Amino acid sequence: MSKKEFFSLSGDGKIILFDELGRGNEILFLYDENVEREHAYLTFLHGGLEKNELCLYAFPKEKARLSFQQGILKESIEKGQLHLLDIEDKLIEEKDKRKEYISTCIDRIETKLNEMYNLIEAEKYSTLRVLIDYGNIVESKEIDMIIDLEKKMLEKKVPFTAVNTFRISSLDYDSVKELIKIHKKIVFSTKNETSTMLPGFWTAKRRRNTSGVISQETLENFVKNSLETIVLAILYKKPMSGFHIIKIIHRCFHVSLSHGTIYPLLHSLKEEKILNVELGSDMKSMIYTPTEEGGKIIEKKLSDIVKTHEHLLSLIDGGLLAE
Amino acid sequence: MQIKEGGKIMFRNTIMGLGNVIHTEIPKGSTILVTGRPGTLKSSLAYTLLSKYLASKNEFGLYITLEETKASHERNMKSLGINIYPELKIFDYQVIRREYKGEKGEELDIIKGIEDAIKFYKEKEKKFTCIAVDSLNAVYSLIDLTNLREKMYNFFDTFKRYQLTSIVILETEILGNRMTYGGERFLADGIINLGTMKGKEDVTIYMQVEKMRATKHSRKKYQIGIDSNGLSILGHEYE
Repeated sequence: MSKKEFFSLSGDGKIILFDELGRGNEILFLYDENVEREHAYLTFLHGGLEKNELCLYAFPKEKARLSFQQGILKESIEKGQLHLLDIEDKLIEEKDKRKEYISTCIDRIETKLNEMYNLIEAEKYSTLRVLIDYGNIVESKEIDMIIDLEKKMLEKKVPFTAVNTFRISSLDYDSVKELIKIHKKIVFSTKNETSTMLPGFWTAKRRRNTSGVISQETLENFVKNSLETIVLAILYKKPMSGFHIIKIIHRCFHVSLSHGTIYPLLHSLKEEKILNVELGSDMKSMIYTPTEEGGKIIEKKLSDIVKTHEHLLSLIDGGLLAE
Repeated sequence: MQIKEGGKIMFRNTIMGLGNVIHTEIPKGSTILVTGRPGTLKSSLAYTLLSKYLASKNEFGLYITLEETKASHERNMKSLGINIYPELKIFDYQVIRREYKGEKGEELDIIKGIEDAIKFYKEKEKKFTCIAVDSLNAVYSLIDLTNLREKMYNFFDTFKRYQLTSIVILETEILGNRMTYGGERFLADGIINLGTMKGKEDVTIYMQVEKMRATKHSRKKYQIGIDSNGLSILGHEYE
């Protein structure tokens, strides 16, 4: 299995794409209070649950609770794959008491993480996925405690993917700077704008294969116009059923396609002898596989697309114009 | 008056003797309901009408089978002497229904699925002109039945928006005493009822055109014959 994975967050009608997010990566997600985060959080947790990862969602009590009463989240909680941790969010003004209180919160998270590290080995989960929404409970003066916790996580040498989220209004410039130092990717989201940043490359020219923000509409149009290529690329990587192709496209592009779009396409690719179909081992799914000839056609198609896009990128970068 | 072929669907020549029942051609874009109890040749009639028309005009059509596999449907047609024409593509929903079955949180939106499939083939096939849905009962079994009349209006309207002549099969026995579920009899442009009559030695199957908008037709019951050449319409049963 590849050590890298595709990962995306969505919100405010925009999709944040991270290609090649490696395990051990930590993402810092800074948001203002108007940003809807539930969909992004659900996507992140679903991604982990589907990959047999042990997941933790820690959140300010009663403020960022997701819908756990149904579907995969409920089942995952019941079977112990998804753990929840309420973080108390009392506003304590007295300095000493507040420090003690925050320290207790961080200790609880650390205890829970240690418990989960042990579970990974004992119950054979592939890795750990952590989503901690600190909300606005942590203020700038307490950020050192978070940084210590993050460092301890890294020292464990247990593979993990983590998203740490903070409400931006609770932090000052220096705290944000400190947090950025220990995260590999940063997402900053306000009601009107979502940006991604890579520490060390802030002022660099646009880089390929890093990350980007794209509107839902653009992505939907892309999927619609490139559907055949996307389906062939998926099947070239791994034969599967129409049902699972729909799920993968939804996971990767946040675009919901109906069966009426995918199955006719699969039928016509089969008629063109690009795909073969046979009954799957579950005795209910029809699994589509590229034929030998189809495999060559797909390779050529994908190679042509990559070349065309590279050509376009070099034009955008000015390479062609410079000549 | 001479009929302009462009605006009419030429069904009369598809089955021998059908011209005695339907006297003038049916307007293109019509939605025709074919109703009857099990075993009254609903699928066979719908398939024959569409496939023979499409083959004669070199046009493309979609036959959506929701309860029967493609293989089973083709086997049944062949057993009745009905040819299989590539111009009428059989779209088998069995596989899709099976794959979605038991998947939590994954509902099969059949009406949207059919519309998307129509969209797909409209873009792919320039001469996509006809569609059959076998059966409406299966559609009902897969959707929430609240506001059904509105849903059926939109469902039938989809065919019109895409300028498709459509045949929708409705199993009447399942409905029991109720004649209609979602107002489909009112919404359809034409209704062909199929049924059985007890003869002296056997049971005969008849067809009766209950309504067919903008078309001259008989309302009598006509016996349907089956031989090695498929279906044919014999004389009418009753004066």
